[in-house]
Amino acid sequence: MLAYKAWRESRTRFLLSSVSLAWGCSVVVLMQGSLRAELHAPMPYSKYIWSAVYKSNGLRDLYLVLVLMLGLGGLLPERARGTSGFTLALPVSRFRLVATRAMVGLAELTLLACVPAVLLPIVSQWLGEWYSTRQAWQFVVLWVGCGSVVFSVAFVCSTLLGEYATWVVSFVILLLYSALVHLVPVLARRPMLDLFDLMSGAVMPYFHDADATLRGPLPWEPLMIMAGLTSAFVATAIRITVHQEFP
Amino acid sequence: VKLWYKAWRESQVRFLLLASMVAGLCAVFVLFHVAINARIHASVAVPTYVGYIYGVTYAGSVRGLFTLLSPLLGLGGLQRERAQHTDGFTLALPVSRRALLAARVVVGVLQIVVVSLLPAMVICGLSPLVQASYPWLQALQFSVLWAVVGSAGFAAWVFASVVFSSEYTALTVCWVASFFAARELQRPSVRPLHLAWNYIMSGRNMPYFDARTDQLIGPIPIEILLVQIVIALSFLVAAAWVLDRQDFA
Repeated sequence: MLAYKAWRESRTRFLLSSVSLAWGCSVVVLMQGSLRAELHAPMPYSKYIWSAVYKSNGLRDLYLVLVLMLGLGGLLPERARGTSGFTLALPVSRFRLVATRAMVGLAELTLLACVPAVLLPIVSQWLGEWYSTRQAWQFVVLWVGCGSVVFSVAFVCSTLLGEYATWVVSFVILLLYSALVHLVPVLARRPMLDLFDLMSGAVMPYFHDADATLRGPLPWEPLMIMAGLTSAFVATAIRITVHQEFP
Repeated sequence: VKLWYKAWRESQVRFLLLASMVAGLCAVFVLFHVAINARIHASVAVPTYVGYIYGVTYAGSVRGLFTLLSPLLGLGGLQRERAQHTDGFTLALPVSRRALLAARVVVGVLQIVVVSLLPAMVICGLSPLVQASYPWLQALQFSVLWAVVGSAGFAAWVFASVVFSSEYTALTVCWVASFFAARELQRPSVRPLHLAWNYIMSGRNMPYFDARTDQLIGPIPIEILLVQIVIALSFLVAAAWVLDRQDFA
């Protein structure tokens, strides 16, 4: 029931996000003729897909923002709407309320990451092009791993701030993070700490630049660190909510 | 005056957050320009302070932040109040719905104008502290571009806030629409229409910008800005039309 409640609260955002991402992927593939003609230099189909979908400024950025939006919600907006009393009166702990919302959000962002993986190979094949299914699913792992961190940042913020402030602050946190990993020398020397590059594979040892494909094993260690960070952020959100006062 | 105060109270947190982010980022870019320039442009030669400021502010992160977050000032209004069950009180005020919307729009546009002026004030004000200077005229011209384009984005989001009953839906739809529209308007085949707001704001690929000196040249592009104003007005008229006919049961 709690999962159903969390789903009902976020389903419009999730469905809109899925449709948008599906639309974006379809446009990238269906209009590849005209879009590739506008490029300065010709490139292989796999590289075109990577630069339009998985690279920075591609659909990857859209995915990140949509994930950020999935992290919004929770008890604070309910307080503003005057419904937090009903939710808190349910015979369940706050821990379960928050944990369930986190689980539903993580499930949604995972499904969202699967949209390009499902669509790109199928639509490509339909148009007589070929995009590796294996590649697409490897990117799903990277997107889910890094997207979870972005989601959990918004999730923590949503337990502390109002609706719009959550969006602004979590967005700025991401912006600052992106600047810091490039500007602070200690961080800049460890490209694996840049979750944006980790997601796209750019400048990573597991990425082959010529045809923009992932080669070799996925970066499991950084992904485990991302999973740890996500858990820590969600745990923080739970802790904050458990101790929060709702008059 | 009361309606304006109400609109201000509803958006003040967003405005103050956005203003502090823009001003803070500009201040950091000016005060630490030597270190940041060395890190960012390690491989690319940026010969002048003007070029550096343009790269990080008017064509860089600050513009990105402004473009993505300033329209957020357009969200809110009666749909939000409906969710919070306060719409009845607001609608019971002896003013028309259009007056309510107008107050929100005026306050929002003023906030956009203030945020647009912040880079000019911070950059030109702080540059002498680091023995550098950025031309006031350039900075103010960029402010005009930002204010007009920002107002168009704001108006679009106001329209969304009137149409969609959920704030999250409005936010998602607006952001997705902005994302796809920005990509579409930047395509080389569409560029001659001069509708890409990123290019209008930065001047990049525009006839009124000199890429060699990273400076705006000639007069402010009135026609291009007029198109943006017409777009903004269209959204606002549409928002007023929808709001007039909305049922707040």
